[in-house]
Amino acid sequence: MIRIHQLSFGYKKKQRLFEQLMLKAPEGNIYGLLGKNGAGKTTLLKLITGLLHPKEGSIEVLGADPAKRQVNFLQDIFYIPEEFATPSLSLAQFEKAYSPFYPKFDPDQFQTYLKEFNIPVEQNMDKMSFGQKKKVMLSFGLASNSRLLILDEPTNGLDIPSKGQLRRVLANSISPERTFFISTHQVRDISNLIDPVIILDSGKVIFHETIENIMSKLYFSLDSQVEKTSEVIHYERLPGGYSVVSKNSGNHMGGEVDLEILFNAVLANSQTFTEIFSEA
Amino acid sequence: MNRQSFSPNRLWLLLQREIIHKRKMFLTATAVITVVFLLSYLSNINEALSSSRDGNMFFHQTFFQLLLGISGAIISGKFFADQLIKEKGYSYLLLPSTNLEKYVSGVLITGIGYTIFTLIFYYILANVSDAITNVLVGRQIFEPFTFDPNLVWNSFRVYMNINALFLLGGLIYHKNPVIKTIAVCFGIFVGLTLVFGLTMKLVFWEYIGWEDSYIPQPTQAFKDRMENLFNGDLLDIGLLLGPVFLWVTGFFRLKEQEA
Repeated sequence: MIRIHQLSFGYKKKQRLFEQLMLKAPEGNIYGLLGKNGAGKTTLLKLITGLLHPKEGSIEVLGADPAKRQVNFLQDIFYIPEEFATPSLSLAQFEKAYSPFYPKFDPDQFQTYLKEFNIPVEQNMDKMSFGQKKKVMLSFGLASNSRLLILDEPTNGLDIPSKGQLRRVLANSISPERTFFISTHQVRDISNLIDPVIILDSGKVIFHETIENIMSKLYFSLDSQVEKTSEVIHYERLPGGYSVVSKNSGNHMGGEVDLEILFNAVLANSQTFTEIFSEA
Repeated sequence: MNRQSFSPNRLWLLLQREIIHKRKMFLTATAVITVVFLLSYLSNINEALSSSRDGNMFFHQTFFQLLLGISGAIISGKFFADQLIKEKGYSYLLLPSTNLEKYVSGVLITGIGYTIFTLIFYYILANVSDAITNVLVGRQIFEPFTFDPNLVWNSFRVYMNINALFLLGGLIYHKNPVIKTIAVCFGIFVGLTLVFGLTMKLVFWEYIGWEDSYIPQPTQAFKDRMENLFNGDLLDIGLLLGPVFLWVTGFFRLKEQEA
């Protein structure tokens, strides 16, 4: 699906954003790409779509070189950037102008998603709010039935009910042939949706694990006190207690991954996490 | 050429998409052309009537070429620039069609399509205006505008050069593409003139006379030779090869475009 090998990229010649970045992402998953501001999440997405070209190394997406922007490849990807321009068209005109470019586009699905997102179908696109435009693009992207849907900060501009709708729609649309790649720094918005989790920092992928693997190796708890044992990897003070990440020595089953504390813990203790997850 | 590189169906879809997207721009262009035409037309009629001369008899022929060149430069310069500026570039570059199809759609719309549109529109505008003037003034003031093959061919081949140049300009400069393209062309022209002038002075000094002037004057023989060279086949070849070179350069520029 996505294979990135020793990727180097920078906007300036002497300032590399990525150095020897490696990533393998098989299909059928909803990947969550997390990183601090400026970590290069959007840049990585643009490299995956072919909007930017690597300086060194190689990228293979759906068996093609994205930089070549071949038709077969473009028909199978759909990218919704954080900021986008929408044409001054009605939804019907928009569908008529763009859908023929996507051979697997399903007009019924498009209407279903629009309905699910409560989009006023008679309204012109440039009169819609940013959140509505985003939902139109998302509906179109899902109805295009492209194999790779890439979303950059999809929850920005969405109200609270819409965030829930987004999670529901994405969870229902995933299939073994499709892959969703979601970049965000609003980790709570997409918790319980993404699997695996990829964390980008200092120009490298420093963490890439499935939720199952995370659950088997780590334990997340909310405690009133923290006992600083060797099991505790990271903790954060919250009102009324502590959010704690500990090694799971096998005693804890189930529970939930707190993506926010996981993210902070990985950034603060990347070496420890490398060691924990490299253990058999 | 396989369907992966070029598909007439996808080209047709692109043309439809451009027309849907740019309908407001074309309507604005039409309105501006009409207003500019009417202002120029009335001022020329006024001149012709007040001085009891026939004014510029070939007003239509001259004005049509100017109009096609200037408005066409703006339309061509903005074609790619408008689609590639900031966020618009994402959807355009990722639209499932090849770079060749995208480039050809640009040439068809802003080059061939715009020439045909301007020609027909101007023909109607000129003939309606002339008919009204004829009724009001009682005589034909300007040489009528017809689809004269010489005029059409000459306007078309010059405009194709302008089109190719400004399409390329729009791919390089996404903000203010028309002004920047003109500025760069002016810079190149000044540079080449300096190089040409220096070459003339240093290498071909014997052909240049200095008599009665501080500015070097080419001898009559040299002038004649240059005139023959540039007025003949060389100019024709240049006008034909110019757009081809610029279109090919523009196509590769689009292929390498990032957003």
